[in-house]
Amino acid sequence: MPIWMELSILALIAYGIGLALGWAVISRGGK
Amino acid sequence: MAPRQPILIALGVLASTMLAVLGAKIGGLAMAQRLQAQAQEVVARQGGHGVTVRFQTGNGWPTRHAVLDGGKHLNDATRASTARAIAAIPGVGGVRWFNASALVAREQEALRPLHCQDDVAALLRARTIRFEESSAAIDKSSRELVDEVATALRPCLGSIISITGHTDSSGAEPGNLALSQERADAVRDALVQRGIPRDGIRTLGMGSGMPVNGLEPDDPANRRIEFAVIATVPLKPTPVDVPGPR
Repeated sequence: MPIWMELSILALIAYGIGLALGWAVISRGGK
Repeated sequence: MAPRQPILIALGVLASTMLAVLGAKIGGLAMAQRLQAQAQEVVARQGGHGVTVRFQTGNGWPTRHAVLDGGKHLNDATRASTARAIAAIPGVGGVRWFNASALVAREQEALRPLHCQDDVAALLRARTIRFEESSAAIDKSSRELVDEVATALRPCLGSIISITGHTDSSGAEPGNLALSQERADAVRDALVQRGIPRDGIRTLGMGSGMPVNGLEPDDPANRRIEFAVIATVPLKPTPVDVPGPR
């Protein structure tokens, strides 16, 4: 697997986690 | 969800991917070159003369996964130790030989022999399969142990499993022989009930002829069942009749 593909997968995972955390924080704050 | 949100998320995905590709473009080649230099040092140290290491995919992208080639005159042990040493370099993702599909670094694990006999021996070291007095009926308290033995033997299906029954020297020897055979048969039947195939099991009654080393022949501790996994028969695919060229 090329390095760019490995990095992309890592970046997407990090992005997904960031998105989920951000969503959780925003939805808690809205209550 | 506002209509703009999916577009923003998709843009985020695109941006992260592009960032990763850009990062790989800047640092990837240098990383692959560093790994390659380290791998070549390792090859020289391991005596893998003629082995070439490439940290490039088929399309020419830099990668952390090494492809080894050459060294056909080397013996398998040197090739394997060279590959393992390269796999141990920090940062290397995996190692394979050109035109070989197996991961060489995992070769040792794949060839690890089955340990059923050791597992069964470990189970029987602390506990014994007990029988009712002068009978071949397995004691109720030992049924759980037989369950565990059957579970331990399951990975060795395809092997010949030998069950040997022994008695102490109290009583007449012909009776002891018959009893030890019956007890070995009883254990076989119990294992067959638990899903071990009957045709892979051999039973033998030894009577009191083989006491445990260091014990007197009349010691009750000589009453025992021993297991041995005799041969591991590799599973062969069903033969298919392939017509030759005409």
